[in-house]
Amino acid sequence: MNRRAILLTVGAVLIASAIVGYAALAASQQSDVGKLAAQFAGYERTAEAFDGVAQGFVEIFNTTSGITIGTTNQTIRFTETLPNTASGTFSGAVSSWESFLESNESAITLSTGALTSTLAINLQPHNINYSHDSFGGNQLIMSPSTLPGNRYDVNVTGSFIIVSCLETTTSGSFELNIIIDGTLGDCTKNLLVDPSANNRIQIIIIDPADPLGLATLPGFDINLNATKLFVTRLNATTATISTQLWYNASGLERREARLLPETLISVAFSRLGISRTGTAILRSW
Amino acid sequence: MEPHRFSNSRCTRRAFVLSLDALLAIVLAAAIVLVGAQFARQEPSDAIQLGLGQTGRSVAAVLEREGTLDTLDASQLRSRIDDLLPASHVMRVQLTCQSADAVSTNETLPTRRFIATGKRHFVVTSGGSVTDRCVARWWVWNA
Repeated sequence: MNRRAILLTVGAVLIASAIVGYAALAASQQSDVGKLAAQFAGYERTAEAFDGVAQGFVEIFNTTSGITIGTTNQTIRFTETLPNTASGTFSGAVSSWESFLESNESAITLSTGALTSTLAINLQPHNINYSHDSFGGNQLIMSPSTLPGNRYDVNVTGSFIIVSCLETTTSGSFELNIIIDGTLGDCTKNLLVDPSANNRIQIIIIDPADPLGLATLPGFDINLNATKLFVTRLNATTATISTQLWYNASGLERREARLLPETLISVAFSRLGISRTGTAILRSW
Repeated sequence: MEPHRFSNSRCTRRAFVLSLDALLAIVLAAAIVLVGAQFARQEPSDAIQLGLGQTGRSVAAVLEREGTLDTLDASQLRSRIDDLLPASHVMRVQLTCQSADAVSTNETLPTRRFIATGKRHFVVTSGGSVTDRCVARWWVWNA
């Protein structure tokens, strides 16, 4: 009787201990899951804040920058006027967006200085920058660290009278296609050049300020130097510039056009210990 | 006298064993109740809460990308939310803008129920220009 009672008691104690132990373990695990869930929710909140801000920049760019981006499997084309007459509108929209965000959400900080001064776009994965000497200025620059293909196309259309196109190039196998279309006259060049050398095409126009229309001066300068392409408006009136970069046909890569700087948007929820810094993706293709 | 003493001692021991058993039964029952309560307390689970949050964020993102937020129109928002949201969920959206008046779909927030919430900043564009800057606050819960 005694032995049976002891066995029963010990058994009951063991079962009770097992159940209490299991409850403690479950509670501890549940607490860990809860912490992970809270952390995950924090990441989601950060991602939502970042995504909204980035999408805002994309819409501001598409609506106010005066730059259109066209893509195909093998090309990317930027079109804008030089000087870009929308630069003031773009800067104003960026500035308003920045003050709205920073006054509404303390976790968000923006670095828009470089964005409004040069409006540079970075192309990945080849790390090519399309930018301006100053946004609203007279020069745009395409600067690849390495050329992703074998061809540049530059189209210039404007209200000027073309007298001649002067070229100074080093021959090679890289295609540089130029089409200049004025009110009167045009200039088309399909050149094979060495992209690492200094290649220059200068468009001579009638001086728009000369009442007799006899004086000439350089209107535009297109310079491919050490793989960098510079298009500079010298004396011509505002013109539409279209710059197209070609990729090799083989590419199945995913490409992105992103606003610079890379640290344009910063979201940091210090209470959650979570932060994210990055930029807006204008297009992926 | 001897048998009586023996009987008294046996009775005491039996009472002690019975008391001990009763105590253990109480401990065992309490442990079971504790474990049950532990699981019952987890309602709704973390997964459900995260799921609600993800649903809200996804719907808010779609509303922004497709331009429904830009309309600043409560009935259009309501209609589109009904299209996007699972039938078991309810979502309220409130837009507060720099220039335009605030807009809300006005669902009443429930009490004693988990509500996932978030916010998203966006620009309003119209006719090729940026016309306003707003924040969309949203709340999602199970119907």
